[in-house]
Amino acid sequence: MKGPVEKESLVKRLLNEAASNWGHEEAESMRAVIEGIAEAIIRVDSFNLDPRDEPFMAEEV
Amino acid sequence: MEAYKLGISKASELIHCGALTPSQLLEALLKRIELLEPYLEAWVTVDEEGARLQAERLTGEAENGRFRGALHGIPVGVKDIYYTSGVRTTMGSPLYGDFVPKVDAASIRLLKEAGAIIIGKTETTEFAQADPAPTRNPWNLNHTPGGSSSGSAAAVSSGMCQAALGSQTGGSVIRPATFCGVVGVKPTYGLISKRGVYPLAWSLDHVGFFTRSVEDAALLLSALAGEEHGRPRELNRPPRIGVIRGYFPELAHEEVWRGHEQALEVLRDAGAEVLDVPLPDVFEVVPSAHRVIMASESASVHEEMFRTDPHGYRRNIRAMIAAGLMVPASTYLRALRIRGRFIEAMSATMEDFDCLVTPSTTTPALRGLESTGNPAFNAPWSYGGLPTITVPCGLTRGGLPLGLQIVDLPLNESHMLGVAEWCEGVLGFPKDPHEPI
Repeated sequence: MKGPVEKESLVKRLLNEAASNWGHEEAESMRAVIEGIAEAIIRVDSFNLDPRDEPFMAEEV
Repeated sequence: MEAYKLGISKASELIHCGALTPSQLLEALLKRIELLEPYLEAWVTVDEEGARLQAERLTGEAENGRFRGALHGIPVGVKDIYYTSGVRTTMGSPLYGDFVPKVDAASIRLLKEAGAIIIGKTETTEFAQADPAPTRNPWNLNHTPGGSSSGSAAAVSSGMCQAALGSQTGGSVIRPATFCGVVGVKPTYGLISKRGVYPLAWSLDHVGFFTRSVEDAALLLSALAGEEHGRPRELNRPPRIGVIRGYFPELAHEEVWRGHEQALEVLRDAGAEVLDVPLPDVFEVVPSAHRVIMASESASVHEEMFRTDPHGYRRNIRAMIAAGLMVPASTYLRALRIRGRFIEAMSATMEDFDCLVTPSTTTPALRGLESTGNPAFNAPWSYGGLPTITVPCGLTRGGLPLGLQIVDLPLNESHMLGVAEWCEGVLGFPKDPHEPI
């Protein structure tokens, strides 16, 4: 996972986007969820995948 | 024995031999609902008229020696996100407050073909996400029954019906089943059709259900997925069980972990081989990948309605949809690709075992109705689409149920039921309905 600075900047960007869509107050009320999704995005983006990794479902493996 | 206490298997046996009619069974359950519903609030709609008509029809058929299937005359509750022809289906949201589907969900059709009676629609969190239903836990009315399939779990636990359908995207079957002290099944992804079930996140959504015994779960799964999946495979020896030691002990509440260790001791004493299993490296990213997919797909499902009426949604789901709309497509696709890696890794981990086990929930049922609990112990298996079942395994000091979650390989339900039946027999948790008052 990348560092806390990156998470902070992603949270800020998402909060700004939310504020432009739904207003500042609404965006602030979503802060906890936005922080959670920011962390999840960073973790998923940081995970090393092989080009052969495909989106299998359970019954296909 | 009073009819509401019967499990599916026994009730079916009595109906088949003429000692009980579907109408008698239905009336016993309607009486039970009348008694308990003011305390539990498990139902959105009880379809007394429709259920009585169907019970009379099935009673007539039984009197003439005609039986539709193993569920002939068995009343079943249905989570209020399943389309039910002619019966209001609200998704737990005022946005669908007056919605009456014209068709049945595929699973409802299968239940009816097997002779089941749809007794009514059970409470759900809003759109099966996290904003709670009003339902209370039959084991302690001051505690949550879990969610999102809150009403289904409470109804089966308290003897208002013998089985009920739920759905799971994170932990919405296994968690409420555990909190309410019943058996909950989440089969392999796609084993039971989701057609006609309102989606939360389509690549994570599973049809699942609640019963008070593994034997009854097997009958229900046979009706919904075929006997080849629903018939428990007999074990020729006590099972070889893998106990996951990473992630779960760190997140488990002290009483949950103690109960888990005690249950494992009971299984070991009965002859099970219980061995530690390390988690594969990919597991560390799984909760995040699950969260990314759930938010992205939910946002896509609700995008049009959300842009028109964001305040038609309650707080939790509104925030999740808003966040999901901002997830980059590249991140969503990576989360899907990680799933393949995870399933392969878990399949390899399970090769040497009959099953893996974990505690079914991070905590016992939480006090209050503000939160339905944490899906952290269930979401990985919803993400991977692996089949799971929870069997009750004990009580906390305060008298709240705990569960043992059993995880098996994809499409290995028959084997999973066999293991669960063995564990259930050894653990010896009571199967009678719980008396909430």
